[in-house]
Amino acid sequence: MNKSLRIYSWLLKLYPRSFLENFGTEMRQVFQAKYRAASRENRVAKLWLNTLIDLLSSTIHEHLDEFRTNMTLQSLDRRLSFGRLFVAIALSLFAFCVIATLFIVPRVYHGMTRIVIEPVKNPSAAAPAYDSYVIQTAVERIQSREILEPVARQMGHYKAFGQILGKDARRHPNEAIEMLGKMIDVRQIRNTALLEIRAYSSDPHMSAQIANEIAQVFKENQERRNSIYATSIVDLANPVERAVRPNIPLNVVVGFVGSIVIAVMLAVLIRAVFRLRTPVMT
Amino acid sequence: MQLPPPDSREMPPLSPAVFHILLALADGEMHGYAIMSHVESSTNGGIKIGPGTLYGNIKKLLADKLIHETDQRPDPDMDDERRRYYGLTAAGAQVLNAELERMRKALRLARGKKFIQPAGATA
Repeated sequence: MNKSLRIYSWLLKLYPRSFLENFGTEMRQVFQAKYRAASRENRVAKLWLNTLIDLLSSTIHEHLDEFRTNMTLQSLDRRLSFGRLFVAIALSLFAFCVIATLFIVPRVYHGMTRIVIEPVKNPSAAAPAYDSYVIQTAVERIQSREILEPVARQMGHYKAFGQILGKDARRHPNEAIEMLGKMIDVRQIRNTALLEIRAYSSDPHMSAQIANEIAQVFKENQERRNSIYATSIVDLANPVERAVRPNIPLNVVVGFVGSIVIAVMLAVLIRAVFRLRTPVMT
Repeated sequence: MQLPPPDSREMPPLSPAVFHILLALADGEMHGYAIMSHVESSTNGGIKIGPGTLYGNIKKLLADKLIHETDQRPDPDMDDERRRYYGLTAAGAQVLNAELERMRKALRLARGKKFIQPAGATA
């Protein structure tokens, strides 16, 4: 009993001070009487549940009521000092940033396949070992419809791809190709004949699958062309469970610094507005 | 929320909590816990008012002078002197009557549409 009453007495501090001064003693008495009745009927858990629901709704109501009836520009001016404004804004922004990073921003996973484009081993061929024009052409070709169309058709068999597209990929090939183009990134590794095909999606398995599928289709395409350059797959993509986006540590640090900067600016602005609007007592 | 003047004919419906608090006090002066128990028993447990809701509404009703705090105690020897008793004011009684009248009209309207069976009728 004493413990429950102590907890309830402590929770009563959530009410506005004036309300508590007026009704706090009575509320404690009422809770005490209800607790005795609930104990006799083994309903203490239910009493606490109802009490907490009542407490939550009525404290919000009483604070809003207090705010509506007592708040004037002058009283707000007194209460909202620069320090309080700064702390409240900075904490709110930082909390929002952390919550958004951890729970709201969708996770993006990437799959990366490496290919190498080298001359066919033919002593009579005049192809140089490394040709930047060939590499650049390959980069563009990988992202062209010629390669993406068969990949999109293949991916159309996978439910997850259709879910991301929002429709059946096999029935909407153009949209599937366009989406696929946005999901990939092809880069040359500096001064080498190696290319990285990266695919990004919310599913690590699908990201790896797309990257591998593109590499395979490009390789077969090159073979059909009888090009003097051959494509080999160096590394196949494997599903990576760690998301590349959002970068949680970076977001938290940026969020912390950003919250402080924005909080300072907003607090200064709000104080300036108060100074302009609050009449000066002479 | 400020309640309207008691003589207002365009008075919006009272909230269930306010209505039942006024109705409980129509039986006589009571302290907070008695009001809560009265509401719960008279509605067969259908309406339960927690301490926060009860005293939040009592605060408003006192401010609107629909109830008043009374010094008289039914049995001073048996009672905790820290308890405060509340009673209905004339304005409070007027508001309660206006609300009951509004309910009566609504009920008559519903019965006129054969939506509700008259009391005592069997299906």
